[in-house]
Amino acid sequence: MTRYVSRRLLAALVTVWIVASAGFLLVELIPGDPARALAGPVATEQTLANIRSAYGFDQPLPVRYLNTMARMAQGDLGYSFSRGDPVLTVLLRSLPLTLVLTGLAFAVEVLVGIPLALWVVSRRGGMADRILLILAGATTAIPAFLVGLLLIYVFAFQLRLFPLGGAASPAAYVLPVLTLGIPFALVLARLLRTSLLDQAGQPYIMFSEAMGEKPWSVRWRHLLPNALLPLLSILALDFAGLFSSVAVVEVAFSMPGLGADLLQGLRRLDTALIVGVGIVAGLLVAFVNLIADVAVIAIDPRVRR
Amino acid sequence: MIGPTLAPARSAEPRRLGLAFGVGLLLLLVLLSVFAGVISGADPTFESIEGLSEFGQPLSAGTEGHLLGTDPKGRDLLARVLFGGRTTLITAFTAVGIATLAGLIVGLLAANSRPAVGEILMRFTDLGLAIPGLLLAAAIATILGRGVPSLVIGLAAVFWAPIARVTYGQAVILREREYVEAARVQGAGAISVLRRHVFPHLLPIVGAYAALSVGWAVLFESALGFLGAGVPEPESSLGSLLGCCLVFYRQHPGLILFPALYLMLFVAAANLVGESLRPRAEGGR
Repeated sequence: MTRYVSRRLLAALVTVWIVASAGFLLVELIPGDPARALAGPVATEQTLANIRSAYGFDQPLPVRYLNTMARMAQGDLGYSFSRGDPVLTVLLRSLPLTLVLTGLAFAVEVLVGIPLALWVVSRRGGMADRILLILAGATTAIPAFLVGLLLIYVFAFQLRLFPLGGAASPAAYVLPVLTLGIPFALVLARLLRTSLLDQAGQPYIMFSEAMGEKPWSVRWRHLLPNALLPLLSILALDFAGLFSSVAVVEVAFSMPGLGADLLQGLRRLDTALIVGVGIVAGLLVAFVNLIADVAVIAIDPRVRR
Repeated sequence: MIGPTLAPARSAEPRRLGLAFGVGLLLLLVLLSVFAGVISGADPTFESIEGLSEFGQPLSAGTEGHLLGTDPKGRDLLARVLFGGRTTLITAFTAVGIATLAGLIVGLLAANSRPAVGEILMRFTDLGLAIPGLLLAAAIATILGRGVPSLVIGLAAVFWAPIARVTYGQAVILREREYVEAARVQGAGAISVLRRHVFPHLLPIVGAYAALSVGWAVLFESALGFLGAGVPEPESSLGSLLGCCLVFYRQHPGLILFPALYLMLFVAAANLVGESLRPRAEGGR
C-alpha cells in the first residue's frame, strides 16, 4: 500500500514536471526578443544587454531550463505583469473560490447522479429511463458556458432570483454550481446505469434477493459499491474535465477564480500566469487521480495484495 | 476509460438510422460551409453603418437583407455564422485528423515495439489524458499566436492521447489473434500484417472515436473563443462569435443564440456519427 501510494506520488510529480517543462518550451517558442518586449521599443542596446544578463536570457537553453525548473521547485512561478503580483500570490488568491466551486459541483454530480441512476434502473425502459438517456446525450452537445448564460438570462436577469454574477454571497454560487454539476450528474447517471445493469444479473445479487433482503438494501449495500468501482477512475478523469469547465463557467459568471486568471492571461498574453494556472491544474488533477486510486484500494479488497 | 461521452450499446436498428442521420447532417453542414458566401450573399467582414439601427444598435433578425440581423459592427450575422461554421469545421477536422494520425502511430508503436518502449509511450499518453485539455489547448493557441494554425495545434495536442489509448488497447488484442499469428507464421511482413489484418479491424473503432473527437473539438473551439483564445477579428469562428457578443446578449439574445444553435448542430452531427459507429465496431468482433 505505502509502496503503491509513493509510486503514484512519484507519477504525480512527473506529471507536474512535464507540465512545467511544456510551459517552459511554449514560452521559448514565442517569436521575438523577450528583452526587447520588456524594455520597449526605445531602449538602448546597453539596457537590452543589462536585461538579458539580469533575466538570464543570454544563457544557453539547457541552463535557462535548469534555472527555471529550480525556481519553480522553490515555488517561484514568476511575475504576472498583468496582475502586478507574483504568479503564486495571484493563484493562491483565486484558488479557494475555484476549489469551492469545483468541490460543490462535484458534490452535486455525485449526490444527483447516483440516486438518479438507482432510481432509473429500478424502472428500466420507462419514461424516466429514456428521458435520462436523451438528456445525458444532449448535454454532451451543449457547451457549459451556454447553459450558464441561459440560466443567468432566465433566473438572474428576468426573474431576478439570483445575482447576475460575482461571488459576493452564497446565492451567487447556486447557478454556477448547477451549471457545472447537473450535466456531469446526468452523464454519470447514464454510465452508472449501464454499470448497475451489468451487476444486476450477477449471482450475488440473486442470492441476496433470495435470502429475503429488502430491495433498497440490496441496491445500496451490494449493487452500488460494485457498480461504482469501475467508475472511480472515470470519476477522477471527470474531475479533470470538470476543472476545465469550471474555468469557463467562472468567466461566464464573472467569478474571480483561476478561470478569471486564465482569461486575463490569455487576453494579455501573460505567459507566466498561463503556465502558472496550468501547473496548478496539473497538480490538482494528479492529486485527485491519486485519491481515486487510493479509494479503489480502500473499497475493493481484491486490489490489496 | 476515455470520457463520459460514450453511450451504452444500443440495439442495431436505431444505430444505422443514427449514422445515416448524422452523416446527412454533416454533409449539409459541409455544403453550408462551402457555399457560405452564396447563401448569405454578404461579406462577413464588411462593416457598415447601414447594418446598424439609428441608435447604433445591431439590427434584429428578420430585417430586410439581414435574415439573422447584424452584429454590433453592422456585419451580416448570417454570413458571420456561416463563415464562422466554415472556420470551425476546418479547424476541428484538421485538428482531429492530425490527432488521429498521431494517436494511431503512437498506439501502434507502443503495441508493437519492445515492452520498455511501449511502457514509456503509454505513460506519456496517460499524461496527455491527465492534463486538463482546455488549459493545454488555450495555452498553446494563445502563446503560439492566435489564429487557425495555433488552434489546430492546440486541439491536436489534446485529442491525440485518447485515440492513442484506444488504438493501443485494440492493437494489443489484435496482436494475439490467431489469424494475425497465422499471417505472421506464413511469412507476411509487418507492414502487410498491419495493412491487411490489423487496420481493417482498427479503423471502425478509431473512426468512431475520431468522430466523437470532432464534436469535442468543436466544443473546445467554442470554449476557447469564449475565453478569447479563438481566431482574431475580423475573421469569425463559432467560438469567437460566442465570445465577442457577451456584453450585448441580454439586449440582443440572437447574437449568442444563432451561433449557439448552429454550433450544436455540428456537435450533434459528430456525436451521432461517433456513437452509431462505436457499438457496431465493438460489438461486431
